Amino acid sequence: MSPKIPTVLLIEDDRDHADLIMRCFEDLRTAQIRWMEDGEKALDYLLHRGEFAEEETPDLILLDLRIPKYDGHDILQKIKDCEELLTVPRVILTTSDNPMDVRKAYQNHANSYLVKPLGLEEFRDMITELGNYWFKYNVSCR
Amino acid sequence: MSLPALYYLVLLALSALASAAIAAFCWTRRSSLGTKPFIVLMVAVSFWSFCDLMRLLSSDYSTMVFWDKMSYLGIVLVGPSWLAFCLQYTKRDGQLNRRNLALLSIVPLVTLVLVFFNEQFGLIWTDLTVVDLGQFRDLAHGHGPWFWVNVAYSYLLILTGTILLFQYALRSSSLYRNQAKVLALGAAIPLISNALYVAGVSPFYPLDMTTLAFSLTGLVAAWGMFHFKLLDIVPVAYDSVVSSMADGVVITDAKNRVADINPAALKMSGLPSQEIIGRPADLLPMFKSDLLQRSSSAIESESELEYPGPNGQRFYDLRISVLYDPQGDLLGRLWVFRDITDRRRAQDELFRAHQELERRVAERTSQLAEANLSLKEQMAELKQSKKEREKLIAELEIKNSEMERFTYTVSHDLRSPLITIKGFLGFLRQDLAKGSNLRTEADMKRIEEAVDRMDLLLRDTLALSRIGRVVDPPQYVNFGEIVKEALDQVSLQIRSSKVRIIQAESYPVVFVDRLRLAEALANLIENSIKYMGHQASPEIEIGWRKLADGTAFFVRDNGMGLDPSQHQKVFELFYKVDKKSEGTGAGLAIVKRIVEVHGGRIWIESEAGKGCSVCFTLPRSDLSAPKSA
Repeated sequence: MSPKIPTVLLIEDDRDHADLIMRCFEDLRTAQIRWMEDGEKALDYLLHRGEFAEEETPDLILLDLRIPKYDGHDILQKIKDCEELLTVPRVILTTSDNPMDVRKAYQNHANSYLVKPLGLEEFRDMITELGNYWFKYNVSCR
Repeated sequence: MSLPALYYLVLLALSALASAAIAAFCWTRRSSLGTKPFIVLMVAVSFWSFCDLMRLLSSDYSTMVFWDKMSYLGIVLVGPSWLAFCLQYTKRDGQLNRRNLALLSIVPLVTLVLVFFNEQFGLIWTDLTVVDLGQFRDLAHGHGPWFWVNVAYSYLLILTGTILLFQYALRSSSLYRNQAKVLALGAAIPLISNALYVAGVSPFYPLDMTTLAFSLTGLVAAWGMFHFKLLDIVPVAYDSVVSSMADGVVITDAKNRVADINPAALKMSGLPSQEIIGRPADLLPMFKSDLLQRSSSAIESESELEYPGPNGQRFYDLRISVLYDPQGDLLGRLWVFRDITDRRRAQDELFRAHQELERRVAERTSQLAEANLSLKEQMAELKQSKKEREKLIAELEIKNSEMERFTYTVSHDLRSPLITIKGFLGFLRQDLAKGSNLRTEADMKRIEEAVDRMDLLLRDTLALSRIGRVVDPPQYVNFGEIVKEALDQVSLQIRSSKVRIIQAESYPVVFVDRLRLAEALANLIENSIKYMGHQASPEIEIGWRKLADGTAFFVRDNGMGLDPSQHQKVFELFYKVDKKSEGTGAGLAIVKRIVEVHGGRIWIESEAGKGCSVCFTLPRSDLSAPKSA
């Protein structure tokens, strides 16, 4: 029995960036991606609301900070209030290297903060490392 | 050598009367010192004369002897009373104590005893025989030893007194000298007369002229005393008033006549000494004023007197002492004029110096107060400027942090298309290697769109940075005109979206950068159209209302509204509520910047699904407008 492929919830408003990330994951086959364009939808998904009632809790949350409706910080805050979701690693993947954003993210219990790299190779390397770390070396409680 | 007996008798009678009269006269002025012994003397002389007269008028021997003996009651008193008078007059009355008086009385008392008991002792007269003097008879005396004792004693006392008078006359001031001389000369008359009688060489022998001589003395003395008007003025404390005193001294009697004046006072008056003594005091220039009247009631007084003397205007400290005799009757006044001109001038000088000092102190105080005030003002200004600086620093800090956020935002948003471009370039390379034309086309399109988006981002960033930096001069303009310009700019969108525009009846005048504000307003109208949603009858109202800090303008729509969580975020640069909507999301950031550059503030009033109002304030034109405008 082959092991279950982990699910990554990608919260990203930029379609191009989402495509970049998803194509990297596709190539690597380390995880299957669920992409949400805005914070509202992502929270519905995480809290199994509405159309996402049947969805499973993801194994990793990969989220951008500047997204419409609820931004990355808001989502981190909501997750913090939900005990079940606290077991899901949250990784920030954003263009901002603003120290205020970094600090705020960790204060809201982000597990990692990554800045989107420039270049496909760099992107692919980063996704590879990400997959390795969280799904190969890191022990999840799930 | 014979004298008509009647003349002699008349003279005796006159002597008795004159002496009695003098005694009586002196009795009226008995308050003067020295007057009482003089009265006793005159009474004694009068009685003596009277007894002599009676003896001569007697016819029988025993009566004659009786009056002869009686006359001794007067005789024994003459010497002591004269001495007492002289002692008092020369102010030696301290010696007239009881003991001395008792001692003085010994000889007279013994004499009287021996006189009245001469028949037993025979020490006064050895024999008394009646001698016929023609028209009358008298007694001839054979003198016994005590007679001589009494004579010597009387002479001694009279001489002593007279010598005291002479001494006193010599050391007295001229004023008293004359009087003393007269008195001393008066005393000499009976002495000489009696000496002649006793020696038996009198031209009138056997008639005794002594009593007549004493009467004469009394007359002379009285004349001397009352002529010089001095018996009622006793020179009390005159010795202490040294004539060489620098202070002017004037003594006036009870009738305000000058009794004495010292050289200093004479110098003050500019008169020669003798002229003024005994004359009314108001003849003296310093008494010319109402000084005498003013001080008539004063008992003891001290005052300052300004007096134009021969040496110019001078100031005197005047002390008036009132002189009384032991009975408490007024004798006169002692006026002491102390020249205080120098002191007064020094005082005036001091006063002027003091005033000058006070003036300078006041001047300096006011200067200090001014300096203090200006210092306070400066401090207040400094405080104010410090406050302003602190405010400025705080503003700058806010601006700095805004700027930092802006920089991060811009770099974040500009990096975003770059990541896309570089990433898809990687895919493109893969596509080309694989020869997948379909993917190549799609990926190139992604790259093109990213480049366009980047161009837009750069333009908006530039537009934002120009606000506040490139400023058109503000002008007074009715807000309605700005509304019109804004509506013109978005007329195309309004027509295509079929939005109904509601305007206010009138708008206030504002003082603004007209073009920028029209741009901001157009942006808001465009936003309202963009987020109208599926509203069947879309409406946009452009209105205004008064607020405490200015006028609030608003653009209200009946579109989809905005969740309160988004009210702040929408003003962030490149923030888009709907990612799929057109534009970069810089619109509201630009509007916010324009409003803030005008000193206003901007906010959202909205709930999701209930339409949205974007409100902003502009300062009132009547406050910001220059008066001349």
